[in-house]
Amino acid sequence: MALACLGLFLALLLYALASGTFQQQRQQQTLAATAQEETERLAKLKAQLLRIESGKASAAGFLDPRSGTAIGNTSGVRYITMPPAPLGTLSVGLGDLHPYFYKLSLRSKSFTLNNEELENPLNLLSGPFDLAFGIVILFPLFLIALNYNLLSAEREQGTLALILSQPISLKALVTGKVLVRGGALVVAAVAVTLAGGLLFGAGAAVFPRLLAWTAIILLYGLFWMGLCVWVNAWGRSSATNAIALSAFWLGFCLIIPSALNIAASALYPIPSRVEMIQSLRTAGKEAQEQGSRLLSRYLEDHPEFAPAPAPGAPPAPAPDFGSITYAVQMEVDKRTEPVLARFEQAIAQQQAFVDRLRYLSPAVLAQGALNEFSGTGLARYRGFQLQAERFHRTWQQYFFPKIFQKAKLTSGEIDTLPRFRYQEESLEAVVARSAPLLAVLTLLSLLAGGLSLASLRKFKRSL
Amino acid sequence: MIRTIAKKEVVEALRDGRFRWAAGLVGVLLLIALAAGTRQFLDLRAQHEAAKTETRAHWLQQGKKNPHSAAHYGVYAFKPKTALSLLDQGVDPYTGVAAWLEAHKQNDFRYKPAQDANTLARFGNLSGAIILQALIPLVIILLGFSAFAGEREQGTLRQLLSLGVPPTQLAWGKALGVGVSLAMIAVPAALLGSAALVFAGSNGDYGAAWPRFAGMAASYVLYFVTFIALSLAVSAWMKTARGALVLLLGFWVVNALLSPRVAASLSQRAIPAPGAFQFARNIELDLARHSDGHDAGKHTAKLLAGTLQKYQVTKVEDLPVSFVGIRLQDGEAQGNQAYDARYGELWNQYERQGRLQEALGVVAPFLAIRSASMGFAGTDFSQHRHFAAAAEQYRRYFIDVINQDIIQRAGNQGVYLRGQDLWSQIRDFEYELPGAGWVAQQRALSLAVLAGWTLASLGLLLLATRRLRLE
Amino acid sequence: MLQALNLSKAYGNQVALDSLNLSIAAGEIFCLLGANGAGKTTTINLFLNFTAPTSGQALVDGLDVIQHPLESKRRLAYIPETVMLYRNLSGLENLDYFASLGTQQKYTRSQLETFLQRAGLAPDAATKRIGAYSKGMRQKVGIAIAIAKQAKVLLLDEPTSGLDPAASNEFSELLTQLSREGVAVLMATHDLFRAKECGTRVGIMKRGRLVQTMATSEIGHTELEGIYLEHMRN
Ligand SMILES: Nc1ncnc2c1ncn2[C@@H]1O[C@H](COP(=O)(O)OP(=O)(O)O)[C@@H](O)[C@H]1O
Ligand SMILES: [Mg+2]
Repeated sequence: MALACLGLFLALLLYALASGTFQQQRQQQTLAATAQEETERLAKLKAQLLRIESGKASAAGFLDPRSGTAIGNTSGVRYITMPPAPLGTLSVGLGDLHPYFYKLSLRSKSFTLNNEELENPLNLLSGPFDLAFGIVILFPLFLIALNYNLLSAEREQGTLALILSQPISLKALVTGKVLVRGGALVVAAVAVTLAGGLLFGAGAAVFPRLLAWTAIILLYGLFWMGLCVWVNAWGRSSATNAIALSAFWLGFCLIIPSALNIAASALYPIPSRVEMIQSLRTAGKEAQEQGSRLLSRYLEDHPEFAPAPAPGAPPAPAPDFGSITYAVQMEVDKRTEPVLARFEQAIAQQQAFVDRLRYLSPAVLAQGALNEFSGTGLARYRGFQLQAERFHRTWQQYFFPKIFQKAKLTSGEIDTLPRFRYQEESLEAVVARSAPLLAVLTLLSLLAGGLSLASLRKFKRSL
Repeated sequence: MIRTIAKKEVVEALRDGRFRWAAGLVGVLLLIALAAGTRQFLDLRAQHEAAKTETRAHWLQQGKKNPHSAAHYGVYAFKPKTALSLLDQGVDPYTGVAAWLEAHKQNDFRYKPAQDANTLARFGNLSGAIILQALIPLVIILLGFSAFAGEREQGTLRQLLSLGVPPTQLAWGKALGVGVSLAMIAVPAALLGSAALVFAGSNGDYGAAWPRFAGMAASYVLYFVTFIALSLAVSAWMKTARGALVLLLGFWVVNALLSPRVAASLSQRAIPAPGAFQFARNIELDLARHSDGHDAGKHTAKLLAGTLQKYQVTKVEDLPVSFVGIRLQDGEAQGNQAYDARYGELWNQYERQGRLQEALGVVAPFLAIRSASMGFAGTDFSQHRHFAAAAEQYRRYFIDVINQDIIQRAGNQGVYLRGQDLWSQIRDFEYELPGAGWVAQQRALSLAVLAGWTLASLGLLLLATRRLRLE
Repeated sequence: MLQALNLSKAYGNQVALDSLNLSIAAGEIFCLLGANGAGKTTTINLFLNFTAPTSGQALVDGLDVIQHPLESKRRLAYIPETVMLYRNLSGLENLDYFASLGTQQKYTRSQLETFLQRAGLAPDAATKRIGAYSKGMRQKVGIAIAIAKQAKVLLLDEPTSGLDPAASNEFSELLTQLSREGVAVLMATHDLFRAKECGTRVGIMKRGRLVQTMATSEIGHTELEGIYLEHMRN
């Protein structure tokens, strides 16, 4: 029975690892495909410009291929990509909902940075079957299955009194039993984690992260083992123990998180995206209506970008379509900023509330810490989003002056187009964020361990 | 006799502290979930309706402009909330809430609510559906695991059988007892749920909601009966109550916890679907292929030549129709072909993944009830697709009206502007949810699987009681 | 009333009961004596149709228990070593439940109270939950069930073992009273004294065989003990 349990646990963890690897590989393939597409497209663009520059091809057409509009918006755009999480194979975390690449454009931020991965919503609803799930949700279940009748089975068979009449302390007996049974599961979990991390993780950089995973598994396992001993020390029947432990599991893994989620949504409601869309549209419409006025205002602010009139030529003609469009895009960004900011603030507030209360459940703590050390936590995705926003501005600022000045890009400039480089967050930042999680998890494990030992003492007295 | 047995079971359940706690907790959770669901539904529907009016107003009030520019401005299609979504949100948090309908392109639904949710939301969303699909079975297990095994351990089973109580009657009585105990939690919630439904649906799809509500209720009854019969059968089969409990909890874990994730990961592998990048790239390549390779100029020239020949003229200026309009319409036709093919393929892949998961309901009835429940709630993928297809239909309709206007009236010289008279010629987007019959047809597999489970578990119960063991 | 015809039962190649022939008339109390493992419980289980015989027939009121599993049970009441009842129900509720299942009819509360009274249960104990009952009280509820059922046959499996002498005596008196009303009683017991006191006949069983039967009126206490020990010795 115990061996079958262990085997099943191991099999599930291995499947979880395989499934996590599958997800990670899909991401890697996508990133490789974006890189390839970008390289090919830019090479083609460069060749085209070279041909135009050497007079072998004409630049005529609806849009000059050398114009900032054509290059900055379509033919020369780059991808903003974030490399896969260092331990993404172990935990999908927020990776299945949050974008890890964007295709640039010169249009507004809300338009450009609005990439969503395509996935069957049914699969998103089910959630990923990754190692983190195996550890946070399944691991305690297996611990419970092996330990729920530590003492009650002995008593029900009538062997407890016999054992206790031997010169062995109850504490030694119970700790021995629980450590052997729980230890086997812990070893299995750590082994699969290390194997997965070393085989599929991002090189030597993952060592400290794997160490953290191991620590979390140990602490979390200790917590549940302590709980099992404590419940056994109540001295109830095996069936009651099983029910009580299942109730704890249900409470920590489902009910507390859900209740917090409901409370968070009620206390800090997130304004609707539907409303946001409307606000963005209104802002866009207003900006559009003021189009040409905006451009002249922009050029008043930045006279250096005004196209230089040819000497002796009549005054500059009416601003062109491209210039107006981008002046409008900038205005849209400016006007929608408060709408988006309000939205992000509401999300941040709700998250802050949840962050304050997540200490109520060790399962939530463990999941949070595992995600952090895998690189699939919220902070890393937020960080990427901010970097992307910054780079999107850089991109606009590179092209807008060229568009306003009606400048033509040269083939040489194609190689020097701004390039996004993802700044991976430092390990210190990860540690700093997860330190309180680990601290409280340690505290809870110690508490559960202490409680179980104290209750054993009482149990013996009442025997 | 069955009534006597059931009554005693209920009395015993009510006196059992464990049941009182569990029932109280589940009852309270169900009420909270219903309240939260109702509130959310009302908020969302109000927003949806406001947005729908507003997007129409934006459309009508866009002033004088070129019709094609209006087509680019486009409208938004907002996915409506069904009243039953307050019970079961289904995949709604994971599909976007709105799609932008504009010229040239079929856009995806954007802004998944799940993306904005806090990090706990993925942990467990305490919706009415999760309580009904996962927690109530736990309560049933709690009520049923000791029904026979416990009596066997207590010795009362010998006593009962010595009285000449037929084991099958005993089984029906106990099943009824569990059912009645369960009803004490479920009925108040169901009444409140119906009240919420009447309240929520008071202006709108209220009429349409009732057949769907009935379908949903029937599916849940099948699911609960399955669990009751299974619990009792296991209890009759296993030697000890402890053994029965552990076996049933194990089944619960497989059913409610493992099956959805394993089914998702299996179906992703069995029926691969492209990611966002691959999908967009495929369409890009298709479109390029449709317009004569990458040479748009050549295609346009061919189109122009064809048009000139058709109207027997030699110059664009002499055409009785607008060539710009003809080119736009030609582009739409090519685009539609590509979008139809690619979206059709993608959505078929999703539906096949879904169907595979429904079929896996043979192993875990959770998969079947989940799909049936969200089907009737109007929140499954099939109905998302139904809506998306209707929105796309509308997009094609209004782009076509605009392009025809351009073709017929824009001429081939100068600036062509239109105003509200054209904008208001285009009817507003109205969407009608398919009926319960359509849902039953779509979800036939799940319903069949559920019925199969019910029959099989009842058969198992009969078998186990026929061979009821005393020790 | 109770009849065993060549009744045999074997578990694998171990014979638990070896061609038992026994007939117990209404108003008779037959006490089955024998060491542990002699086959007493097996005999009772066969009459209850809890186990199927390897060969032979068990009849209750002339009905074969296999062909008429429910009809035969309607006529009998069974009291095991400890009458097992529902812990969460009171004595009265337990009686109500078992009586209505056994007889398919609903008794009023006062009727039920009368049954318990006849069985000798103190009125204030009737409404207490079984959890607080002593073994003697449980046995009385068992008797009350038999009374309510108006059983023609009582099957008792060591009903008094573990009871204190006073309770045991009280129990025997109840049996005697019931047999006077025409109930046939088959009681497995280790208590030679009780068997002699209230039984009309005793049978000694050894390794599945009924080796001797005698009427209690024909022998004395010491004589019975002598015979019993004699059988056990060889
Ligand atoms: N279910 C069973 N399986 C195998 N052997 C059994 C079973 N029940 C009883 N026996 C055997 O049958 C014999 C008679 O047992 P039993 O009727 O319980 O004896 P008694 O009640 O007289 O103490 C014993 O040897 C016992 O081991
Ligand atoms: Mg016996």
